[in-house]
Parts: sequence; structure tokens; C-alpha cells
Amino acid sequence: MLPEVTAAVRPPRALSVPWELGFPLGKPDDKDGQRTVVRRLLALCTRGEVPFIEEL
Amino acid sequence: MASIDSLPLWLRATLKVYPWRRVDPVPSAPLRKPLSEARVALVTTAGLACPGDAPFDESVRGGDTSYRVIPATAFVATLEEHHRSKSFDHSGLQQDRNLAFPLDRLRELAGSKEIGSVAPRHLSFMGSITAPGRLVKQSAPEAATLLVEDAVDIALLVPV
Repeated sequence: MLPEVTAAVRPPRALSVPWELGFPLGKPDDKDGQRTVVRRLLALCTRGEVPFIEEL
Repeated sequence: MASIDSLPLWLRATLKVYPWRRVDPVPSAPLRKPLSEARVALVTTAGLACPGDAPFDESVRGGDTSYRVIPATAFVATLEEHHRSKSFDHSGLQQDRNLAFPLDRLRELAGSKEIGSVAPRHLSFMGSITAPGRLVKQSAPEAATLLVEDAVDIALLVPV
């Protein structure tokens, strides 16, 4: 959730999201929005080169 | 977007000097099958637990490094949140646990055959662990073994 922390710990694949702490998938009860995030997360797994941080 | 600069001063100061562990080289586990055949698990750091499970212990110095297993059959709305941090707004998570544990969304993607299957077991950790030694050496490897046993292809980590 914190770009500075993500860059420091270097996970293999990370998705940077535009929301505040406590809201990693966006708005509560926003099923379409949450599915979009999960789809983007899954798509990261199809990439071979690591590490990288992608913006939502 | 969340930023260290938006946090309380005391936490900002802590995070800016915190000795983050650097894993080098970064491990890589390429996906060896299409998403439509992949088994997917969730790993959350929201401190969620099933009703009746022992809550995470807020009194552990350095953070509770234990984990809880959440079965694929869990009713997401009933999961209990034990995250100890007062540095983020818990209201969204209290309204909709899918914000940090999107099991319902995974079920939908499995239903539409965008993923192969939902793993039978998912993992929940407490965040805000300032002394992660036991987590790194014991809890995380032990928990990862469960996912390997379940032939999981993808683990999605959702921090909060």
C-alpha cells in the first residue's frame, strides 16, 4: 500500500493502487472495481521478468 | 494514493529509518499454465480470522507472527478483523471484508472460468509486525507449505 515500502522490500510483482491505507481494492461493495483489481493482479503473474511495480 | 508522508509523524519517523529486509536476488516463480487453469489462493495481512478461531494477540511485542487458515467455504462477511494498527481507516474493511480478502471476487472469476479454481485454503496474517524474524523463519514458510500441499499456482498477497 505504501510505494516507498514496496520499493524497499522488492516483492517480485506488485500492483500500486491509488487508494489510501485500509482500502487496497478500492471502495467497499464495489464488486466491479474489485474484480478489475483482482484481474490486474492475476495478469501480473503472467509476466516472467521480476521484480516490477505496476500502476493500476 | 497512500504515502508515508500522510502518516502520523511518529510513524513516519519510524518507517523512514526502519531496516527493511532486502531479498537479493528477488525470487521468481514463473506461472507454468494459463490463468484459466491456475489454482489461486489469497494471503491477507488484515488480521482476519474465522468466527471461533483464536484472535490475533495485540499484546505480542513486535507483533503476532501467527497466521490463520481461512477455508474456501468461509462466509466472507462473517470474518473477524483483528488488525491492531490505528494508522489506517478501518471503516471500509468493516463494511466489506473483500477489500482485503477478495474471496467472493475469486469465486466469481472461477465461475466465469477466468481462473481454474479457488484454492481450498487461504491465509491471514497480522500486519504491523515490527520484529519479523519469527515470521520470516517460521510462520511464513510453514504457511507456504499449506499452499504447496494444495497445489496452488498463484498466491495473491493483499496488504491493508
